[in-house]
Amino acid sequence: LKPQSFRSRRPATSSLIWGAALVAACFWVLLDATSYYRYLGSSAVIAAILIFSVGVVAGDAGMATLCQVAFAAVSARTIALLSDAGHPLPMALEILIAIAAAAVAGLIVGLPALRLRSVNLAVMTLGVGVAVDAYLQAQATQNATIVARPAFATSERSFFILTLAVFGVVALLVGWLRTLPTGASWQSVKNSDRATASMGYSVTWAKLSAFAVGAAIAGVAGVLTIMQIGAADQTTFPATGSLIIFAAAIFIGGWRWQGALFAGTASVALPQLFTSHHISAEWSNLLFGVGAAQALAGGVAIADVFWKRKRPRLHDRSSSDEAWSKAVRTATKTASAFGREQVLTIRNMSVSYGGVVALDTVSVDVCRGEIVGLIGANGAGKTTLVDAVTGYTSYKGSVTLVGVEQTGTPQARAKAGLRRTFQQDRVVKTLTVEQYIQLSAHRKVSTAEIDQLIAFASVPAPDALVDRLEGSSRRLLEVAAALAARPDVVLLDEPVAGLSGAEALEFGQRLVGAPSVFGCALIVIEHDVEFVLEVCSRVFALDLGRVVATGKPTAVLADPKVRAAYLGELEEV
Amino acid sequence: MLTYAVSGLAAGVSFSLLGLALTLTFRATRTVNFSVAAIGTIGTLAFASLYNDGLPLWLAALAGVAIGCAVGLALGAVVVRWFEDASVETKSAVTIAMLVTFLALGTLLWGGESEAVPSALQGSAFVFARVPVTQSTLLGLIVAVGLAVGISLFIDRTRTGKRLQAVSERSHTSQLLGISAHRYGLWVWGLSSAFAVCAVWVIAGSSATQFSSLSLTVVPALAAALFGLFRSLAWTVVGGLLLGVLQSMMASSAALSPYSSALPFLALLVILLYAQRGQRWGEAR
Repeated sequence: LKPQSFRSRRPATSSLIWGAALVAACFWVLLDATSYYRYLGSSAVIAAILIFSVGVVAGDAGMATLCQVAFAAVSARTIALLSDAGHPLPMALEILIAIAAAAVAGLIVGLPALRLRSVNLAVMTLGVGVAVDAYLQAQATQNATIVARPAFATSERSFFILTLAVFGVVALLVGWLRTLPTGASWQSVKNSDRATASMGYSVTWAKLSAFAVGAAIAGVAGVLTIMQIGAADQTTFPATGSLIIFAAAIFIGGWRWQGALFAGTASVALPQLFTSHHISAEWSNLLFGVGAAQALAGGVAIADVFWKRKRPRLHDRSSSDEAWSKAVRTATKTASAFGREQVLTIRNMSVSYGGVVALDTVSVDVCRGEIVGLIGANGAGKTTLVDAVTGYTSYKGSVTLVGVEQTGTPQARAKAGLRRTFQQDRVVKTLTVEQYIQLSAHRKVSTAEIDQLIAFASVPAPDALVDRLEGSSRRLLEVAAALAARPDVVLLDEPVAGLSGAEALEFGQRLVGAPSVFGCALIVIEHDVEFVLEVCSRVFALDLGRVVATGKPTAVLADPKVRAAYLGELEEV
Repeated sequence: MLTYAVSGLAAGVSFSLLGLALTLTFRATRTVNFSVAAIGTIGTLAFASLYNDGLPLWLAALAGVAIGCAVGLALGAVVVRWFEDASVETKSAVTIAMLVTFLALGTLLWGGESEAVPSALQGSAFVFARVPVTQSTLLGLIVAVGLAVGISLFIDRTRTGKRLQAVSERSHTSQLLGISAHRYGLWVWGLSSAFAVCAVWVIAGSSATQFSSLSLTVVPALAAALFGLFRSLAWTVVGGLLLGVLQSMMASSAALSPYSSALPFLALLVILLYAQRGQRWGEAR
């Protein structure tokens, strides 16, 4: 699996403002400030690293974390133990071990909260934070190990430069991780577990890796903290610190490095400002709490205000329409080569929920290049069939994809080439159209291919944010993203539900060409009879979990049993 | 051993009451209120300050509960009105943000110092296993069990209870049926804040009375509420009592006592691992 290029288009003006502010602040701290202010400057950058760690866990993967300070404490304690051990290791190795210890702690904490709601993770992390705090309180007296700063960073000035450099490295590494499939799957898992698996990504790995990376970053902050102050006592890593860091990340913004740096500076500068005016420093925490609640209500952190997206480049609809019809014309010439290759075989599939039989020995087979319709009234078992075939529901019977029986998890089946879409769209709203397609494709998709997929789904532009698209465009984009992975079979669960009649018809016209262009088979589950007549070459009708009719769409729709199931009457009107 | 088990009852009662408050708030308004213990602490310390300033006990107690209720109602109003359509995660994050605010506010008002909290009922009710069980612990125990049984019956058997259930499960649909979800939600927030004040009052008599440490008793309370899977009031009370008793027994052993504060975390770990068996693909996500 190759790294995908998620080009982030950074607006030039705000980068300039950020850069200028950063350079000005650093110049002041390095040239003009007293060593006390340089010390505070280091503290601000360390706080920024902690806040950035919240940004990765909460901002990328959408999981609330309330124990980042505890992870910092774990790495600080580790490096203290190592430097106390009598067998001095090289400092770089000690630091790496300490950071790894924090990452392992993150894996352990993330483990039990994988499958449940993320609010349970918040509960869990608060428990960890308080437990670690209590442990450190109890150990306080034995905790006075001195951890020396690196030889080149003993002065406050050089230590400040060191913290800035570390922050830069962390920001670059996270930026790089976000371009990798794992980092991109964090965005998906924030949105939906089911959709993440449907794109062939492991939900477990996405959540655990985000949590471990967040913990490792917090570990970096822990090492810097203990080096800065020399030795930790029971007040260095308080449980409430994690809460304040969390609030600051929400209030000011911890997802972008600029926001984290801003938040870190504010979390050090504000209490300083208050105390210098004889106001209690607690007012700054009070402000962070209220500000975070306000940011949650508005859905915007302070740093986001400075960050406006560039207008997406508009896509020429007419030329892309032409490109799509041309692609279909060339593809249909070779399509006859598909022959009658069976790509999906479902044999005797049965599913029951408790005592209710949802599917009863259903057998369906699909050949490459065709679009098969699956119709039936509500409760006929259509969505259950999709869930079972793609591995979301356990079943009796067998599913064979291009000669290989599928028994694995949804993500394993998706990777093998068995894809699905959902009745309610589960697109990843925080990505751009292009990023979303790349994420779903599991490979490098060329610009030409992206344009083709966009033409197919008639989405306005590759760099439009998915969240900004209309409901109907999102549904089609979800299908396009599934096709981008070049699967053998895609199951579309009511792809035109919620679209107007005209939109559905237009989409149908495009869908007809898709199997030849992408070399796959489609199974379409739909209520819309007109749509089924337009796109499907064969139809299976389900009623109460059984296949009651199969054949050409017109013949199946004329079948009295199908009419009875649909219209609820036995005689013809 | 039994001695320590009995002396853990006070904490257990406190965890149970806080757990009840958490479960009720979650069931009514789909919010995990991380600041529940902080709200209880504000009420309790307000009561203690007023009492130490010379107010009669009953008046100070009443004022403390009223202040706790007022703070809880204010937060409840914010959550219910501004975050009506927000996810559980977002609403709970609001309460985390408010926990930060309350922690700062508590330190501003009461400093880092401990405030002497008067016990509700002086003297011990009876002596069990050579430990005097205080009247407030006994009263709290009766109240916690009574509340769990009473509220469960109320929700299952009465018209108002049915409405509450409707509001918790389908907020918008209930609005269409003419049931004001806001009003019911606020009732629950007020009521659970009153529980929280009583809960913190019980535990403040037996342990440290620092604002931050009292506010963080929300952790064992969360473990208790998870024991009832944020649904069952009875199991929540059982979980809270178990946790209190176990923690006290752990503290009695020299080998285990340094880890007794990690017990709620371990309980969370076990409960979460147990609760998620079989749950793979939540329909909503």
